[in-house]
Order: sequence, then C-alpha cells, then structure tokens
Amino acid sequence: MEAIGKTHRKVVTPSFIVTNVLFVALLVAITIPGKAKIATPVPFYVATVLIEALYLWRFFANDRKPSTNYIAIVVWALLIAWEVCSTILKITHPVLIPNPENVFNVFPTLWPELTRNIYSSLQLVFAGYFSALILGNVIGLFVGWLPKLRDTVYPIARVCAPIPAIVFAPYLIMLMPNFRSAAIMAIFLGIFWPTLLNAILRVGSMDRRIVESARMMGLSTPQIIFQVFVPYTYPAIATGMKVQMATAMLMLVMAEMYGATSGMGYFVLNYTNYGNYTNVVAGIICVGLVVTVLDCLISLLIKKTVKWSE
Amino acid sequence: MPTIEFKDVSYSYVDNDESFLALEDINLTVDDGEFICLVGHSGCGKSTMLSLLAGLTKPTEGEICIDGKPIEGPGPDRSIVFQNYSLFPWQTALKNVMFALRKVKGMEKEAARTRALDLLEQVGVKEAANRYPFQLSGGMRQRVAIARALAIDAPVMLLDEPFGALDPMIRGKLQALLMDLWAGSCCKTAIFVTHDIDEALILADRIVFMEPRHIIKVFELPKDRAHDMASLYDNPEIRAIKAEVLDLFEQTAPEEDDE
Repeated sequence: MEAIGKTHRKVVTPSFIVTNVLFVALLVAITIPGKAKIATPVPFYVATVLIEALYLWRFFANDRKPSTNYIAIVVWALLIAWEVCSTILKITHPVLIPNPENVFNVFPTLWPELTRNIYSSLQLVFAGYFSALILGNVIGLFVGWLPKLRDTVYPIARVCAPIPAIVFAPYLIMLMPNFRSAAIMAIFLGIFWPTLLNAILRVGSMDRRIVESARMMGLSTPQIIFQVFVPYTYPAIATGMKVQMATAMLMLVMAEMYGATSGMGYFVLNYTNYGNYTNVVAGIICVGLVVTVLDCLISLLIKKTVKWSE
Repeated sequence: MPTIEFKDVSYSYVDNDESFLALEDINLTVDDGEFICLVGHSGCGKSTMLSLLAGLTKPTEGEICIDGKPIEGPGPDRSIVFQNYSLFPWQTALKNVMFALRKVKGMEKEAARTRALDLLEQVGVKEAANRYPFQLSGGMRQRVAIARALAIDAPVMLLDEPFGALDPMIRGKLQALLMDLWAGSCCKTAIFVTHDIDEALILADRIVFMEPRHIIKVFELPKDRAHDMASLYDNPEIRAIKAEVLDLFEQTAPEEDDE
C-alpha cells in the first residue's frame, strides 16, 4: 500500500528535551576535571558530537519517531554513568574499567593498527562468507529442484546444519595448514549448511504452478533456473545473508582467538593477555561498529532489491 | 479439421506404492475454436485431462494429438490459466505479461510493453500494471493471468478452475470478460475445467461430464443462447440440460461427501 503522506510529528517533545539535555550533561561531565588522570578528552568530545549528529539524522530521517529519542537516552545515560563513575568520582576499578577518554583516544592513536586488523578480518570474513553463500545457494537450487537429489542431500543437511560450527573451530585450526585457511573454513562451515538447507526448502515450497507456467512458455531448464528459481528464492537468500553475516563474524572472532596473529579478535585477545583493558574496550567497540556497518549495508541492499512478497 | 483428439487415453499414477487409475480409455475430439467445459465431482479426472493436454504429465496409454501431432511436452502452442497464483510473484502485472511476450513471441522490450498494456486494458486492469501480484485482489490476479495467457497467443487455451477461488460477483464479471473476448477476435479452442454448472452453461459450446475415470455424457448447447446469468435460464433447452447435469451430479456423488 502506498503511504498517503508523512505524519508530521512534533519535534520538541519531552523525550526530545531529555535527550538533548543529557547530551549537554555529558559534554559538561567530560569538561569537569575528575579524580582520575586522563590522556586527552578531545576524541571523547568528538565521539559524543558524532553520536549526537547520528541521532539527529536518524530522528529526522525516521519521521521524528519517539523511539529514536529513547535509544539516544539509553546511550547518553550509559556514557554519563561511565564518565561519572570512572573519571569524575573514580569509584570503579581503575584497571578493569578504563576511562572513556582513554578508550576513545585509542582510535586516533592506534588507527593504523586497528585498520590493519579490521582489513585482515574482513578478508577472511568475505572469503568464507561469499564462498559459502554462493555454493550453498547454487547447490541448494539444484538439489531442491531434483527430487532424487533432494531425498539424499536434505537429510544430510538437516543433520549437519544444527551442529554449532564453533565446536569444530579449534579442531579446524589444527587440521588446516595455516590459520587463514582454517578461519575461512570455519566461517564457510558455519554458513554453508544453513544456507543450503534454506535454499532447498525455499525451492521446495515454491508453488509448482509457477514452474509449470514457465514450462508452458517453453522455457529451457537453464532459463527456468536463472529466470524463475533465482528471482523466486532471492528474498530468502537476501534474508539469509543478514543472518549469516552475524554467524560469519562470530566464527571469525572465535577462530581468531585461537591461532591468529592479526585481526580484530586477535587485537582484543592480545590486549586482554597484556591487561590493557583500555585497548580491549576500544577493540570491542570497534568490532561492534564494523558488524553494525556491515549489517546496515546488507539491510540497505535488501530494501533496495526486494520489492515483493507472497 | 479437428484440433484436439484424445485417443484411448489412460493415466495411472503411483502413490505410496499403490497404483491409482485416474483416467481410462478416454476418447474425445474437440473441434477448432470450440469452447469445452469439463464438469464433474472433485477427483473425477478432469484436472488430469487438462494436465495431460498441457503436456505436464504423459498418458500411460494412448495419445493426445493436436492437429494430428502427438503432444510431446509443455509448449507455447497451448496456454494455461490456473486456479490461483501462477503469476510470477517477483514481477509486476505488466512485467508478467511482458515476460510472456518476450519469451514466447520474441518481442523487443518496447513493443512488448505496448502490447502488454493493450492486453491489460482488454482485461480491465491497466491501472494496476505496476503492482505486484501480492498487491492485487484475487479477481485482478486472474485478469492478469488471462492477459498473460492471451499474450502467449496460443491456439489452445487451458483453464483449470480459473474462477474457483473468487466470490460470485467477481466470478460473473470474469465470465462476462471471457465471453467478450471469445465473441471478439479471440476464437481459440478452450478447455475449461469447473465444477460449477452455471458457469459451464454460460461459457461452453459443449459440456463434457465426467465421473471417475470416464466421460459419461457430452451435452451440446444451443449456439444462439444468452451468455449471462440473468437471461440464461429463459431458454427452456438450457433448463432441461441443467436438470440433467444436476441429475448426473447426484448419481455420481461420492458415497462419503466430505466436501
């Protein structure tokens, strides 16, 4: 159904005021000299302003929904609590709970190291992710279509798909010649079986009359596969991509915590071993950001390309 | 010259290691341009007849010929309209019709667009051209499905209870649409499966009544009759045929009527 028009909600509501008061409160809190010694508050200021900018953009782009305010309130409340407890009052553990100023200062100072590790991780993720998606879906289309093949492969896939891929990650690292191939393999196995299962079920659930209509138009087998099965299964493939990206990141970080010498998981684990929790927290925030960006990109792709439902 | 011939056609299928006979020694000749309605209870084999004619299944015995040539498989010399949802859900109404025009008639994109819009106008859904099937009502979907079948422009059109899922008002409108199309330039041979007697009496030149596996009677309908519900039964001959068909329905009713 087409929307008749945007509902113009008011800008200034109680929740909007609370959100922005909290934003100012955080800026003030950063400015107040605290009991703890900190490096420089500038990156934390920048991060705060960036979060506010992001919030305002989402607020106005999302038709001024009050829920955007509520999310921002939660974020500001957490940051203020963190700032007040660790830097101003110094009532939290000085080593285990690092100061936010120091954590955000990691980004500019360790920028080259962070980007190198992100790059290294993404290479592995994409290699495992795309190979599993492509193979899983292509095989799934054929298997789903040919009943004899389906009767063989479907039970196997049903047994393999629910095994949590994490359980064989350590074994794979022993088994494969090097860490990179092991990590790619772990990501691949984590995604391949569910993808295959999903594709088989999707093709199987297709109304046979859709295929019969195509056959009546004289379409050849390859035409039926590429012009009927592929567009029909695409929305399910796209939704699967979103879920499987989360699995891929999980498998990656898991694998990196075993035998890696680079990558985001390695970055976090390495600094945990050295007890540098400032870098650890920065690394965790970094992983969160990367995952969120990837997730948003896939969501955008789905929104732009899937226009129909059943 | 006869267009469609069923010659001693039998069809059986295997389900759960049991073999079932769906059709037995069917003989039927359909003339060029004739509108045939296949009527009978559910499971009498009428949809199987259509499926065989479409080439989607093969007869176990005998053969079906169109213009003397046996049917080898599905192909664009026959078009089909199913009861529901055979449109491609990922394409708009317009694209669905265009797809058929481009694949079957080999038309260029622009020519196909013009022709598709024409066809959608003929069936009365031009304003919905850019909507996806899930955004259309059941009646509109069937109109688009008819437009797509017309796009294929096959001499034989197969309709498998195309209006079975529609409410009576819409059903009447679509029957009128079919009659308009057939009264106009479209003089295809049509095989229409239905279990609605009124529908068959409105549409058909001949009604083929089936009981399980067999054709038991063929009714010839007067050519010069009205083709709408309002005045159909003014004709005493039609009333007599209806009585007889109802009688057959009664006689052939399955023992446990669980429908």
